[in-house]
Amino acid sequence: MAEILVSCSYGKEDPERAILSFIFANVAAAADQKTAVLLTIEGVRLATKGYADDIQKEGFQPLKEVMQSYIANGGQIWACGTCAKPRGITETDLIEGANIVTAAYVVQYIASGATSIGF
Amino acid sequence: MMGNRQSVSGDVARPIPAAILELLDSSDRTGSACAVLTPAIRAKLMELEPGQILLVRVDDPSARLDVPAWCSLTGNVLQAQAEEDNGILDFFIRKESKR
Repeated sequence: MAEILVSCSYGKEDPERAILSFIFANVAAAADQKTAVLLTIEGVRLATKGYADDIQKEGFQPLKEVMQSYIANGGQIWACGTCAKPRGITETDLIEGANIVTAAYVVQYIASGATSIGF
Repeated sequence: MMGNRQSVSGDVARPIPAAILELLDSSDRTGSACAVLTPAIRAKLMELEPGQILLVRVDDPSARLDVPAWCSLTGNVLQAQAEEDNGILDFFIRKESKR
């Protein structure tokens, strides 16, 4: 099993990037790979309750549907703590399956062999 | 693994599936088959027991890449594949993993 990190910095301002990040991550998780989506900058809002519910892009599955499948397949959602704090986002704001992580935690994940890809 | 793949012609006995998953009309589907196919296969296989066979019928040619790759990653076996006269691709996947 490989370790895969999918980085996403976009929220509602770019639905395609947000959705594609989770589509890719879901394919990885559904292939039994240890997968985490790292949400940074505006993307960190995707980890909050209700935010992703109405994000859609023609030709794509609705984001909420993809995220639910991803979580059901064992995927993890990491919200950048440095990005969450200035936006007033705390652990209590997060959807089930999401956690706030630190930069060092992410660095350790990558240093231990995880492969990262960004959209 | 491509080594697991074997072509099935109309005269050759096809494996008997315990379940069928169809993803047809991919041009009308929200999201390409590559986005939904392998997660859908995983979900369907979870309903089966190890050793049982799932028949996947799909009309998106990208499945020729996706299905063998997914089987290689998960340890499930692509026992056979075939192409119907109408272009629909048939993949016979034997469940090996417990998940």
